[in-house]
Amino acid sequence: MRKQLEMTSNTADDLSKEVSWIRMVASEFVRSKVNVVALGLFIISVLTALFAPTVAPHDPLSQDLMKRLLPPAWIGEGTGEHILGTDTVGRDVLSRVVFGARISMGIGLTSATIAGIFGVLMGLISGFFGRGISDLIMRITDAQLSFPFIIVAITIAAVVGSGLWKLIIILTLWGWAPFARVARSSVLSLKEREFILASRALGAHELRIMFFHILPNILSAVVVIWTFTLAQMILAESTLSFLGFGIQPPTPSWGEMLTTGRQYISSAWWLSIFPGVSIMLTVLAVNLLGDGLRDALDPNLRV
Amino acid sequence: MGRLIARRLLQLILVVVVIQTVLFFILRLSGDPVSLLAPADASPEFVEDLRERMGFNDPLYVQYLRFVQHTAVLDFGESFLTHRPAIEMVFDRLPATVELAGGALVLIILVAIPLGVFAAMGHGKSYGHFLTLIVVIGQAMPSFWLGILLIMVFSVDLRLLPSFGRGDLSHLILPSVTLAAWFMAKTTRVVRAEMLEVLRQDYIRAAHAKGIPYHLVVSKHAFRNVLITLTTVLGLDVGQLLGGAITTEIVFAWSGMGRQVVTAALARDYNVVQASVFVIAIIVVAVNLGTDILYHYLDPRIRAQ
Amino acid sequence: MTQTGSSDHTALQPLLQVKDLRTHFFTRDGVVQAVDGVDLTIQHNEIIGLVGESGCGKSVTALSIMRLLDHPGRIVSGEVTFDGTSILDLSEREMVDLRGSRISMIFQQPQSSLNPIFSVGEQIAEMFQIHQGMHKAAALDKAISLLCEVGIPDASTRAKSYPHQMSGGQAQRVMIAIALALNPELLIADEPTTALDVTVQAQILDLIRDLSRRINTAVLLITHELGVIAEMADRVAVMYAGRILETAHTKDLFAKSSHPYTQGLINSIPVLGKVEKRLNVIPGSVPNLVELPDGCRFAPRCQARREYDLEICNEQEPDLVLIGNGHKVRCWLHQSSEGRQVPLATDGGNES
Repeated sequence: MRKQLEMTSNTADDLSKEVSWIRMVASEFVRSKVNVVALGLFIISVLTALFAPTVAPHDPLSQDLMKRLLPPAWIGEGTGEHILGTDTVGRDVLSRVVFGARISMGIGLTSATIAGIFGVLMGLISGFFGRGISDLIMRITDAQLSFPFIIVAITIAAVVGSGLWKLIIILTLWGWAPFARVARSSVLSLKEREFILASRALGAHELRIMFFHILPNILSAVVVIWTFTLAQMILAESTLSFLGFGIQPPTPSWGEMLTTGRQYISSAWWLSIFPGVSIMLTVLAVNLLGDGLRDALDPNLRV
Repeated sequence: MGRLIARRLLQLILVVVVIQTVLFFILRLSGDPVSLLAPADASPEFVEDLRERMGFNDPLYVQYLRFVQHTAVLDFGESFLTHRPAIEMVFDRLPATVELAGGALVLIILVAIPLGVFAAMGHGKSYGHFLTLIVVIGQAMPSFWLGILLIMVFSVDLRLLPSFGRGDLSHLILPSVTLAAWFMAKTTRVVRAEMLEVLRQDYIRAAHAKGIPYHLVVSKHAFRNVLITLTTVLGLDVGQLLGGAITTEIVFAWSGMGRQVVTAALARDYNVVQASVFVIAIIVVAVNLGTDILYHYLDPRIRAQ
Repeated sequence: MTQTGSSDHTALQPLLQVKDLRTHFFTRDGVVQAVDGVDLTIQHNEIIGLVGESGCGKSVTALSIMRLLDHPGRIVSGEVTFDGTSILDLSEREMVDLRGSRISMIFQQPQSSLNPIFSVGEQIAEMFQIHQGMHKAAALDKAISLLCEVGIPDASTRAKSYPHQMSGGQAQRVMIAIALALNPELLIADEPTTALDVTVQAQILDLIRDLSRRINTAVLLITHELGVIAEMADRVAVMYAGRILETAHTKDLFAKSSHPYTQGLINSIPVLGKVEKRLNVIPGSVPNLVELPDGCRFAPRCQARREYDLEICNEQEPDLVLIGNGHKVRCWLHQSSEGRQVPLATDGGNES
């Protein structure tokens, strides 16, 4: 096996080198059972989100006031028709949890990705260009790392109103800073390395340098940060929705379900338990995935 | 050291300015709040007059300069809702939030530090794995949900602790546990990782070679080095703790500034929002500066510079 | 100060005796046999050099003697007898008492071996506080006089310095002060000058030699430089791939080195003033310590084996046999006459 790897990397082109690298990382990753479980949970979450209409037994919006606040199937009046019970207007909790995955995963994945692209771009700009811009960007990341962004987030949400894309933009602003820092420090350290100087001496354009030399070098770090940001975005989205600044009812989101659930703590615990467990498991899976990826890609990454 | 602190202070003031400026423009983004203030049946002339009187007809930069001027003397205007000075309303609520955050901070320090050291000692052993599991779960739980769970168990079922309001120590327990949980998990993780890192250092091996008993190597040689990193981490966390207080205050009907800022934001009571943000920013800056000074005091490598 | 050195039975009993020590590292990729059957004897007051390429197990041998191995390293078998007591049978508490007071150690990286957040004075004083229960003020006074002794000028001021404020040479002097504070019987110096400037290397070696002579401390000097050995050691042990290949008095080793590996090492020392076309290096590299060859560990790189075309080298490992006054070697060239596989001496026996 090892011999084979050496052969490919010696004789074949870059592509197969990359393939063997990915293979190595993957085999390192699956070495830990925890990683495999986390990956499984994550895939389940994504699939649930993708196929929500097929998975969900009912329309998450259809109300039935005759059947309001039914407990889960295994308790008292619970019925098999509503396995996780119904809410205050008789909507199926399971279906709402399933559709909630759509919101959580959809918004989380989108905003973490945009935050990644935006953050890396800002970091590259800050690393390459003059001190003024660089300092400004770094002060902003400073502010974000020490100041509770949630206050800015609810203020923006209060001003611009809520909506899917507005929420995604707010979350992007929430999560871009770590990407920028990693990209910037990588640019600064690579900038003076020989191969960059060499390609500059050969007349390579700054942009070319950025994309062909620096990006591959920060890929591992970015992937790991992206994973942790995804977890953070899922938590942030549920928090904003819980506070009433995120997804608006009746669209089912886990945070919004907990807003209602909170008012029925003593009578209908299932309204709070299931969306909460969903958030927890998803975030847990993504965080563990991040840990596993970091260990597999580069244990020395301190992110 | 004085120069370094002065430089740091300048940086931190810049942070406050950035936050305030960004917020100012965000708040003016959607036009002005006059339409909200005027009665629904007010005539257009009345609205226009009000707008003129409140200065919303001036160019944006004039408004901004005026805002900066007022900020300098802590004048954030009146609340549109209560017609009290916004800054006063924030100061009224400040003690409750400080109490909550303080309780959480005490918990973090008392629980997470020993737990982190313990987890590092248990590296590769079963109790180490168990603690790691607790930590990852703690980091995955949204705090508002944890609050709901705690109320379910300790207030509704066991009837042990009050679920809302401020009062004696028993009122503080559930909210501060709720607020602290995520940070405890994170800090445990940081302490564990840092401890393992320090224990790998040459000077730890050298300390063992000197014949220093194991518990002293850990508590003196290793832990003091961990403490230095931890100071910075905890300093940065204070700001996030104030942010986390928002959901906690809502879940436990805790009348702090977090709950107030949500109410204000929902009602577009911008002056109160702006005043709250300013006060939080100042606290964050002060804590960061304090952390820096402490850090200088603790770490001779920096002290000497 | 308590000089526990038992000079009475110096002649009877070596200070430290290591027998068939095996220390393995149980890694994910297999068992690394870092130390695999090392025999080593250290007499009172002598300086013995342990030489070999990096990765041959010198440091692991030292750490095994100190019982300071990190996970996943473990002493698998063997005996380590220090002044009549078996170190491997001591409880961890007894071992802690022994470390620093009777056996101490200095390391390759003096600056990172000092705790960055304590002053060097405090770090020296700690020895007296911990091992002798001395009060801090008195201990600090002693620390200052020790700093003087190791040649740090303006000691009372320098005692307040932190490690990052010292040069590598000064830091190593501090480490020596710590190590010799309690007049130990054995000092293990693991590559003490490798990380230092060439200009201060000699000074540090002189300091180690002079102080150890003065307080009757034996030194186990670990290095990869034969030049250092020539200057310092009374006796030398040459280590390769977890085993001792040759041991002799220093002058014998340089005069009549018997193992092809030792000869290779000696030939690879660049001689001042002699211009050579290229540096004589031993071809090849240290074998993988997970899958060791069956025969002699040096066989794959051995010139002599190729010259004499010895089959046995690849099949069976030779024993460490006595070939002269305290001179032992592990090589088929010296173990069998006329290609016979019967060793000249089955066991090296006791040196004397």
